[in-house]
Parts: sequence; structure tokens; C-alpha cells
Amino acid sequence: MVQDLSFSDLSLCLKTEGLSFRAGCFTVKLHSDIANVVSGLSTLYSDSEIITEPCDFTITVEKKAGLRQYIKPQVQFYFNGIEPFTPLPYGQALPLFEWGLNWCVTNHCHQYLIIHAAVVEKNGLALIMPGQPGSGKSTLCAALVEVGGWRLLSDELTMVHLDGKKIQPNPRPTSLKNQSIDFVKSFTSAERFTPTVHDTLKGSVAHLKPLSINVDQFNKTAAPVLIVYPKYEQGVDSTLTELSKGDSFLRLADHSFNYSILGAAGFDALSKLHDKVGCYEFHYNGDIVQAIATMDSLLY
Amino acid sequence: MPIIILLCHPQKVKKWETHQWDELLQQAYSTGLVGRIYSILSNAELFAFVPDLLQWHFTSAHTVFLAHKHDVLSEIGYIEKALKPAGIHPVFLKGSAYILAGAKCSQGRLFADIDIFVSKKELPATEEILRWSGWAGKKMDKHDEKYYRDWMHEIPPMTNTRTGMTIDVHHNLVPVVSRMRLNSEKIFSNVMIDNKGVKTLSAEDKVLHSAAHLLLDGEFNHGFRDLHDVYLLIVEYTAKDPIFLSRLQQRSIDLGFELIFFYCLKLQCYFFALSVEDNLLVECEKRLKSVVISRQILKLFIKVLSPNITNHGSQSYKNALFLLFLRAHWLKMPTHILLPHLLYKSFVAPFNRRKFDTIDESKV
Repeated sequence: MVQDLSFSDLSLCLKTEGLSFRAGCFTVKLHSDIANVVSGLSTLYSDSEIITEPCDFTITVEKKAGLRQYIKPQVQFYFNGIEPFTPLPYGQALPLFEWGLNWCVTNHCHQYLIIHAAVVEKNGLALIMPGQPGSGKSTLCAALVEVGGWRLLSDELTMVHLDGKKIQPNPRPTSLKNQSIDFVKSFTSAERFTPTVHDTLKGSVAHLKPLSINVDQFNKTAAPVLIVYPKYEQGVDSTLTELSKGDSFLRLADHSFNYSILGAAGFDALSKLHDKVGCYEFHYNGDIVQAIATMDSLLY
Repeated sequence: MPIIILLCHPQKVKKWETHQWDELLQQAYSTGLVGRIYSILSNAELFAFVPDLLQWHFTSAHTVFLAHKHDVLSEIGYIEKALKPAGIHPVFLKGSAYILAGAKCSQGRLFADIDIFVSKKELPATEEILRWSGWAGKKMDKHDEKYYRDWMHEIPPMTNTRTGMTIDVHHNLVPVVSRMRLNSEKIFSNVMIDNKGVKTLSAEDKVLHSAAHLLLDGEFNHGFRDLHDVYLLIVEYTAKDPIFLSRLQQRSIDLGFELIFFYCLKLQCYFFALSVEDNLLVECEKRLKSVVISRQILKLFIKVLSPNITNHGSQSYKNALFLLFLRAHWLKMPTHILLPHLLYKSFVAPFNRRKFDTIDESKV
């Protein structure tokens, strides 16, 4: 496991031959000579297996060369030598790695229908929470997992098997933004967080390490039974409204990354998924105890 | 290198060990050939030899290719439908042409935009009709506008506002101010028309255009893939016509593309061990202005086109890239245009760019 390596060994490994480890259900070979990446990795992936087999994604995160590095250094993400993004300020190396790895998944894994949604499991049953940035899906997801006893499948990318019957877990760090960072810290241990990085494209960002029991169950699929569209609003009473399947179908197609690439197979997967699920809209005011109770009640 | 072995002798993968597949996958991603390798392996019934853990990379790339091909064919339909009433029948170039011709090199190949070629006479009408039919040009500064319209062989790219796909409308195959002049009438008189009336370049011109594009352009992001396109085209056409290479040589002389033909053959021999008769190569060398310089340039091409990305950080790689960038610009423009252009691009454009670009957040 990554935690068996001392900090200096980890750093050396990342600098030289690269570290191969499991990230969610995928494997990554990472090269980096950036201190923030080494410490971020030792916080977020300490429970991850070290891999000896070939890896899915070969990634390098390093300082962008050129004169600029002496004035305003930047960091670049490479996927097998390809640079998919414009470089970011040097301090954002760790978020860049996490975002870049999401890009690797959404751009290459078309054996699944990939939806921009958090997904958690209890008793083998999965609850999918799609949401626009700011809808509070990551916060709700963190509350369900950290307090409510649900298992984290993914906080960002819901991967639906093309038969529509199973969700593939991809337990990776949860990305929290702005006010939600302190909010989630109020009910979970602060050591599992990476230092907050300010002024990114998404505002202030911090990552939360997943629980080790969730990491270990990366291959245990769950059956989707619920799709809940969360909407965080301060000061309202929390309300749950049933949503028609047709409505949900269209919204989910819109939230998916590869619906158009999959064509007919994507349509079939979404239809079969909707055969079995209840669909709801959930306005919530940040009362997590009540939110957990509401989600639990939907299961039974 | 695994990727070269696979592309030249796919049967050898039967004896591969895991680490070779690992290296192959990395090289396939960096060269953009994952989808093509899927096609090669599955056509040869070798896909079962791919280790289970890595198979999804190749099948996923194939899924993307099928969606892309579908989109390209409907886009070709939209373009034809828009231009047909005006009696304009464009010649489709490169990626879209390979799909239309059902060429082997179209399998698993993705490309960013559709290239069409019309005569200079038809150009204003083509542009106008496309605008009326929902295509829109990108905002550009005056310099870029002039660059395209007065010096290059194509007008500024336009985007289909319904589908998001980009079209490059060409009125020549090489820049009009370049040192390599090309009479576009010679190309038009030789085009291929399929049974639906859709036009693509003749077999010889497809190869020469593809090679010219690769060897005259100063960027090599997809260089190795493009080189392999040319290889597949030559192999495919040679199977139909054993003297295809001599025809190709003749055509290169007619068009004044002898130099391109020389580099192209040499690179095909070097990377893919294409079998070429000795006298054809000797004949090619005879036509060169300077054998010594051409051999040096060939070495630079070999350096930048290699699929081995581990040397991309090396100084010799960067130097080769820079020299070929200069060469490309030298060929593209006469000095009195080139110098002001390079000065503008290095000192004025970086400041202007901020007005036009915003960081694409969706990519992150």
C-alpha cells in the first residue's frame, strides 16, 4: 500500500520510475517532482494498493519549462505525453492531477455510461445524485458517507454498466469547494483533508480522502434504485418531490459525458436504468441529519 | 518498439508479454492510434491476445471512432446539401476523404475538422452559402484574417453552429504564397467521383497531399499517425496496382512534389520497412537539389516523427522540432512576408490573444 512507503521513498519513486497505484477502480502510473503532489498523494491515496501490472493511465504532473518558471511558475498535466489542458498556476498541482484523472476517465472509458453525479450505496442499493456545480451534491454525498453509513461509490462520476443494472464504484477523493470545505470538516476528521487551494477555476478547493473500507470495495457493484436531484437552498424547508421518469431521463442524458458517443447503447442503458429507479427532486437546507433520514426512508 | 512491430507484423503479438502490451498502450495513446490498433487486431483476429485488463482501452476507442464516423458522414451530407443547389461539388480531403473512399487508414482514425477543396472561382459563393446555411467563422484579429485570406490555401475555419463541427475550405493544397507552387487545376482534372457523386482526390494525389501536409507543416502532434496513414494508403493502392509507386513518382514530378515524394518514401522505408525498388530511390535522389541537405533534413524528420515519447524532453528533439518549424515557415512564405509574420506572432499576438481567448473551463 502507498502508506507503507516513507515520504522520501514516495517522493523518490514519483521522481524516478513513477508510482503505479490504484485510484478508484482504475490504475495510474504517476510521475511528478512536485512536493504538493507527493504530500497530497500520501494524504489521499495512503490506503491504495501499489500495482505491478500494466496501468490504465500514464500521467506526468510537472513544472512547465520555459522562462516563465522563474517569474510565475506553472504546472502542466501530461497524459502519455499529450497536454490536454492549458497549464495552471504551480500551487494548483494536486487539484490539476485530480481533475486530469477525471478527464482521463470521462474521455476514455466508454464501456460505461458516465454521468456527472455522486453515487452512494447501502444494502447493495445505489442512490445517484446528479447535480450542477453548486447544487450541494458533494456535500450531501460526504454527509451520507461520513455520518449516514452509506458507502461511497463516487462523488463525481457515476459509471453505469451498459445493461443499466449495475453501478461500477470508483471510490476516489471527494472534491469540496468554498464553504462546503469547512462545513464537511465540522463532521469529519481534518487530517483526511488536503490543504485548501485558493483561486482555482472552481474557487477554493480541498480534497477529502475516502474511507479505507470504501476504497477496498472498488469492485463491488451496486444496483441503482434511486435518482435524487439535490438542490441546496439556505433557509428553506427541506422538501422531496417525485419526478417523472421521462423528466429524469432527459436530465440524466444532459448530465452524462458520453451519451452521444454511445449512441443507441447509451439510450438503452438510460432506459433500463429508469425501469428500476424512483426519481426525486430534493431541496435541502443543509440540515444533514434530516437529509440522511430522508434518504434512508426512501430505501425502505 | 512495440507499436512499430504491431503496425508492421501484427502476428508477432501472439508471443508478447505483458510489459510489451503496457508499452504499446502508452505509445498508442501518445500517437492517437488506439482505435486504429483495435481495427488492425480485430481484422487479423488477434484481439484475444490483448491482456484482459487492457482490452477496454481499445474497444472504447473503437466506440468513439464509430460515433465519430457517424457524425462525419452526416456532416458531409449537410455540406453536400448546402452546396449542391449552387452547383458546387467540393472535393473532400484527408480524414473525411478516407472515410468516403472506405480506405483502410480511415479505420479508428479521429480528426478535428472536415477539409473541403473548391476552385478559387467558387470560393466566394461557397463561403457565402455556408454562412447562410448555419456555419459561422471564428473571431480573428486583422493579422490572422490577412494570413488566411491573402497568403494561405484556405479561408479561416468555420463552425457548423448546429453540430459544432469545423470545416476548412481550401482553394489550393499548399499556401498560395509558398515556395512550392501548385496549379490547382491539375488536381481538379484528376479527382475521383464515387457512385453518389461525391468527390475525393485521385489515389496518387491522396498520398501526395497527405505526405505534403505532414512534411510542409511545422507541427507534428499527429505526425506518426499521419505517416502511418500514408503507409496504409500506399500498401492498399499497391495491392490493387503493382506499379502504383512508379505512378506516384510520375505524378510527383508532374506536380513539382519530387522533394516530398523523396522524404515520404525514405520515411516509409525507415519506419515501416516499406519495400521500394532501389532504382526508384536512386531516381528520386537524382532529382534533389542537394542530397547532403536533404539527408540532414530527413534525420530531423526521423527524430520528430518517432513514436518514442521518452526522448521528447531531450534537447536534440527540441532542436529538430525548431529547425523543422523554421523550415516549414521558410517554405510557406517568402521572406518579406515571413519576417513580419513571425515578429507579429511572437510579440504582438500574445497580448492580443487575451482579448479573444478565455480559458476553456469545461475541459477541466
